[in-house]
Amino acid sequence: MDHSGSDFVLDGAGFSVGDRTILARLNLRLAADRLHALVGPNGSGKSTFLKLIARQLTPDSGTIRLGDRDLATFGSRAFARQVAFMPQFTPATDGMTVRELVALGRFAWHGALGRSSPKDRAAVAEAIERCDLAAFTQRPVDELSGGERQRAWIAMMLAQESRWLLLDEPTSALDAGHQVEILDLIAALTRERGVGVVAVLHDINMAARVADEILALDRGTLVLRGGPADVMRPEVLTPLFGPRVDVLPAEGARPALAYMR
Amino acid sequence: MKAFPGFWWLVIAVVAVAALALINHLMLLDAVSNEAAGNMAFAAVFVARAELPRLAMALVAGAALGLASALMQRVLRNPLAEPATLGLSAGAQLAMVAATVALPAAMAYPAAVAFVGAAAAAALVLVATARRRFEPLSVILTGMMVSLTATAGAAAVILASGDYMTGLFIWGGGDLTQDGWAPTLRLTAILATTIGGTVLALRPLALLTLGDAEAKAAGLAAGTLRFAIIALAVWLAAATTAEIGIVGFIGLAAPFIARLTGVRSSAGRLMAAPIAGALLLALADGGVQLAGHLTGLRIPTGAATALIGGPLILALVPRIVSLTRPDVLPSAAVLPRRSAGPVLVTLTIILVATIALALTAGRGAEGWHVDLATITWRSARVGLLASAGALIGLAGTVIQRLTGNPMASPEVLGVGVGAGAGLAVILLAVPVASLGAQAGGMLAGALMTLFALLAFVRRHGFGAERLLIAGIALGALLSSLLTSVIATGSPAGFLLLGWISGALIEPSPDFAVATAAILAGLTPLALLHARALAILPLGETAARSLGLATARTRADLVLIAGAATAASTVAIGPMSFIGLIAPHLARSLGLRRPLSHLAGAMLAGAALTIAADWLARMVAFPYQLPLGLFAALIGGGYLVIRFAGGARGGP
Repeated sequence: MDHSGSDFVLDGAGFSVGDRTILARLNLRLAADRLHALVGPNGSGKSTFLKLIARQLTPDSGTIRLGDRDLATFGSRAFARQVAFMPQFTPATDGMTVRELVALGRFAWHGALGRSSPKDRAAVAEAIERCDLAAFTQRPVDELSGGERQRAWIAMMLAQESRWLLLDEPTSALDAGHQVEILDLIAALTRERGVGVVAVLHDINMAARVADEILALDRGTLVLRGGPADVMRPEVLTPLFGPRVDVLPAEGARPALAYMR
Repeated sequence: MKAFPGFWWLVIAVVAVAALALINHLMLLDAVSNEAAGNMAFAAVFVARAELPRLAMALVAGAALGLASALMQRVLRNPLAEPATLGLSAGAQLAMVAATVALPAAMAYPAAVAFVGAAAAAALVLVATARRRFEPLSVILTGMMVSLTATAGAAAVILASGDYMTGLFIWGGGDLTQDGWAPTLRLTAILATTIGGTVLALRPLALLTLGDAEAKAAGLAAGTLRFAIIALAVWLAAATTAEIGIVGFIGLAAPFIARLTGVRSSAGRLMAAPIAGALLLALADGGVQLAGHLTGLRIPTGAATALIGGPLILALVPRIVSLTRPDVLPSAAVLPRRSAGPVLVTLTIILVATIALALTAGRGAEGWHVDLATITWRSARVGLLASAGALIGLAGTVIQRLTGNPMASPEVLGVGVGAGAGLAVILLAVPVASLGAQAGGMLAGALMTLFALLAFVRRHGFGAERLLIAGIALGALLSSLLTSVIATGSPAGFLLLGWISGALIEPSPDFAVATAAILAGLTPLALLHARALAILPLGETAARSLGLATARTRADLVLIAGAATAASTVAIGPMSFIGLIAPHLARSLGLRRPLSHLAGAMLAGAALTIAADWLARMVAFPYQLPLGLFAALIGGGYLVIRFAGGARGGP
């Protein structure tokens, strides 16, 4: 699929609350087939950035376009077919089973009244299969472990078959093993399906491990952007983490590691 | 000069209170001067034994309400907690009304009787919400239900004991009229004790603001402290209610004003709240007296504070950060999962059996009997009850799914009270209004309330929380207007009292058919929203991400639920609890998907309503008790058993 027509384009987009600027006017383009990791300290505006492009918030200044269309011009379902968003805290699902949750992802396609077509069912089955949830389809989502629950929500986004997956700290509640599992799944999906991903990640090492591109925000401005190899250098990371940051260069199977001296 | 934060506000408020008192005094002298011209002795007695005590009572009672609320808000970490919203005042009122009728001797100790009622209400609210860890919104919703039920109960008791008792309802509206110093002194003593207790607990209270876990980590027995402080606050609130009746919103506004003045410290805010409350109630009461002098109407002070406070909550809505906590655990894991078919069949069989019972079984002069002949003249009544009950079940399910809150019920839309306000207007305008005109008035009132709510929430983006709070505020505002009309003691007031208690008049077949037609029209509309009803409980963010146009969908669903509530309220009066219980019952039987949930709740709602009516007719035969009261008793009992059980087994 050719995705170049569905890049995110920010044109002077900013957001503020009262007279406090959360996000200064940003100009950038996010390519629709790459995995972007958003990093930065608490309060740097990364969640706000994600919510702006997910249309959960409306920018106070500038415009955000998807391809050549302003986000505001999309209908609710049309937008959901382009962009799926997973909040940092996934809500309680009130006894819903995994299959029922994943099937909700098809709302953008069949709408409130349309019948569920064979294509809808195939998409749900495929998403469940891809996220290794076949054994859990009849289990209530609330009873799953943290990692399984996160996979169920990712499967729901997959069933939505959108061009973009936006994830706000998808691994914040998980242990290191499950963090890697979820991020590798997301990275694999980016390559297999050619979707664009923007994920807010806390850990620069995790970001460098999976991302095609790393964007670092600090106090509402973009301070750094580049591939993992460009970013994982002490002189580049210093403005973000202070003078004590150092990087252990990649070696064989081990990726580059940033650490504090 | 700036002595402390809010100093100038304090000065202005004190001057305003004094000015109002002086104006009222002069106007009163002006009014009596024709009869007692220049009689200074009369004026002196009046000042010493009526005006000054009333001013003192307003100050003391306002301080008591401010302190009680500040304590409860602190302990429950809930910015909307106060005696009225938690149902404490209504509980105290019910206990006092019941004691006056059934056990007059107990009324020698009014504060004790009031405490029993208020403590029972507090226990009910806290037990029912313990499993949701006292999540503020759930606490307020449960408090509203307890409050509605207690008010309906009090109205029923007053009605049953004859119209000379309506004076009790006037008192219930919050009346500060005094004829001596004794009540003021009693309340002052209790207030002083509570202030002493609060001062002793200042340090632990500051810790509690951090939350239970943190307070425990700091070495504090959070549970014990919370229990002790709540008991203290309930005692103070009950004593206040015993002296002056229900005065809402002072407790809500006082801590908020204390914060607005810029007092930062934990102790400072706790102590500023009673000062703000005292001045606020004195101002409101002065205003009410002035309005009384100018218009000749006797307005209960409680009604006036609600008129100020309702809009205050509405103004606060956009500022409220969050009343729901993400850490509240879902209760779904303990629910059974059954296939919907057998459950729905069982519910249908139960409904049919209930209908058969209500149509044929009854009590007569010679005891219990089953008579097929009664079917013809009971069918209209049972048909009406079935349709109305199903409508409430539908409305309740839609509201709970729409807001993602299992404690929400159709009452939160304020539509039922709106219907009552419409009825009040019709009755005041045309004292001998026909039943058709009354129904028309109720319908107009309900729809106007619904549109007001929609218009308000639309401006603020239709969040579930805002919808609930705005609905509660609107309901509280309108019900205080109702109380004022009832307090006039006119025939219209007496009719309204019957309506509040849920006394059902014998319906005509046409009425039953019309209600059934509305049910038949609204049901498919609700069913068409099944997918939205599955998605909305996930919350705003997830629903939007899935492509649901949340604002429009919510507006549609509020209209459907509001119309269903309006139709059922017009048909059988306000039905507290059934709209909350029926969807709950369906859920706990394992009906989880929207369609089966809706169907189950409608069946359960119809069966519960018919059963409540049958019991209301049978229990005190040959007298007929108010239907609404019975529905509330069934619902309240269910709530206690279900949630108390859950609290023990829950996380």
